[in-house]
Amino acid sequence: MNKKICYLLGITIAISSTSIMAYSDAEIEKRFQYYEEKIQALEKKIKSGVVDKKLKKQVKRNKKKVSRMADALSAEKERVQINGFMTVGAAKADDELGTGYIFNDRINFRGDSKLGMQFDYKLSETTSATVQLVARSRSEDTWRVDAEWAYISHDITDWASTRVGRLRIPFYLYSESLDVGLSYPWVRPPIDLYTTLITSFDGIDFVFKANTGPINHRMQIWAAAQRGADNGNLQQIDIYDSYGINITSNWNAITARLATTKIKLEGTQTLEFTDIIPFANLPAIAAATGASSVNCITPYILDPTQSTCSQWGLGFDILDTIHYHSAALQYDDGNLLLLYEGAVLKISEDTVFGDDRSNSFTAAYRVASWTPYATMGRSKSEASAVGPQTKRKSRSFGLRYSLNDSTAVTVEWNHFYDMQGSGGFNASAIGAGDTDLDDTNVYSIVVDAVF
Amino acid sequence: MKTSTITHMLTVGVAFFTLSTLAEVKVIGHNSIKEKNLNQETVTKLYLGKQDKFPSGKKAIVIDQEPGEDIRDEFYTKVVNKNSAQLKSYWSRLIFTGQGLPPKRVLDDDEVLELITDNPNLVGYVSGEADVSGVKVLFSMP
Repeated sequence: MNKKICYLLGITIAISSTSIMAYSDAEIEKRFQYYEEKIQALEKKIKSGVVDKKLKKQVKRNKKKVSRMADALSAEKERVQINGFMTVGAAKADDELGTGYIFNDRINFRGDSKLGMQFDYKLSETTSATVQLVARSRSEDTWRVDAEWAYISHDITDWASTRVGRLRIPFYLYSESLDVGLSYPWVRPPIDLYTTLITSFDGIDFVFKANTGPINHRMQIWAAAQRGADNGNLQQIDIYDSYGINITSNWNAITARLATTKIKLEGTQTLEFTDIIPFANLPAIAAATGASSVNCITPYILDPTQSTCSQWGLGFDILDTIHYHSAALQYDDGNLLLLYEGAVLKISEDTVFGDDRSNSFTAAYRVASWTPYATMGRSKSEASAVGPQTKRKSRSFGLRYSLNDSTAVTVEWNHFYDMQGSGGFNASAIGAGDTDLDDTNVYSIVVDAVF
Repeated sequence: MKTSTITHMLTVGVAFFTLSTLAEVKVIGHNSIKEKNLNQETVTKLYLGKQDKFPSGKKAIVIDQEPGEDIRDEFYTKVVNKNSAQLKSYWSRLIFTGQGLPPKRVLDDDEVLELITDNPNLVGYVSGEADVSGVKVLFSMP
């Protein structure tokens, strides 16, 4: 009896003399666990027949202490929520293809690798602040951090909310989660559609939700203020006067989406070429293509007269309006996924690219931890000031393996064929004279994780 | 004769029922709420963030349990029809596009019961063996 009281007193003193404030969250959790176990042991002792009033009181007191600690923990946890995602990926193409994913003929980790962290801070029942920082190494060989999302959100009513700040442009079905590998089945969303000059805007959006019977609808209207978009490819382009509207409807496994986006672009874009051209010819080329500037980047080393250039650039002033109209239809019952998405782009000035039409169809089937998938796509671009009409078709096959519920490895082979012009790839990378690249391949492997 | 056959069948029925409660999932709410029961579709919508109200219009806040609890996997696989990888993928799309955050998580059945008896807006799930005498069972699945 004495022993037991001493033992209990000892524990009580230990608990009451512990200062909670001095410990880190992890340590608090550990102690929390420890005390919980102790209490359970004590309760067992009581149940086994020792009916001592003092004991019961002390157990009650300790229980209260534990639940107060639990409340303190959960209150802290509720204020800020931190979530993250990460992709480590390598890709290699048969040829120098360029694009934002930097496809070239060397194994390259830069295009797909990234790390994202998101902080959600609840300011009140109806207002919250969110920042999503994404680090990539696309440009040069240094990692660059960008705030992809940074906004304050407010619930106006329970069916209408608004966000102000930096948001991603919701061009297509997976545009907003473009960086989160686990949110879609592929290594990256099909580039037949998902390559855009810019990905986010600074402005405001309104989201409305409604139901018609069993169907849920979500409509979004957004408008951009000015946004500078330097995507590291020697261009500085601003968007302004831009807005869009989209509606997504969902009924069980079926999702349908219609979207339209209008973007006005202003800025300069530089295209690089690696043809060997005499200096004297450069101004004429500039005049012929409507470029506003031309410069030689690297003189041709092997020319003793030093009058030829082996790497040169054309600068284009862009003042253009692009309308993106897209439609998507998806069936996903957890095992079978079928997705069709198509888009039409209408460009007013056709400076650097012409009107575009793209389609993509994907089928995926999940069996245990494996999800094989196949995608077919095609895209076509009208002639522009700088290039001829381009066309290309694609056929892709991939396989995803879920290592656990938050990590997956995906391998993908993209085969591009029936290419006309440069197939819509970086014409300057391939070489202005060499437009008879008929087909090419891209091989990729990524590990995606969320935490 | 008839009565004893019925009693016999009932006994067998109860026996089966008791056996099946070992893997049963119960969705519970506070005793005072209007709702008598919820259907599977409503429970699914609540737990996937597609709905945040009871059918009566009252605010509903769902509580989840920590990953690792067996009852969690049972609940999501049986009732919501998603395994944990599909659930992670679903929520990652919503979280990182600012469309929603997953429900709060608590340690186990006991914590769920404790919180629900204190708050009439909460909805949680517990295993069949849990003591649900102080709360209302809104939905169950064997």
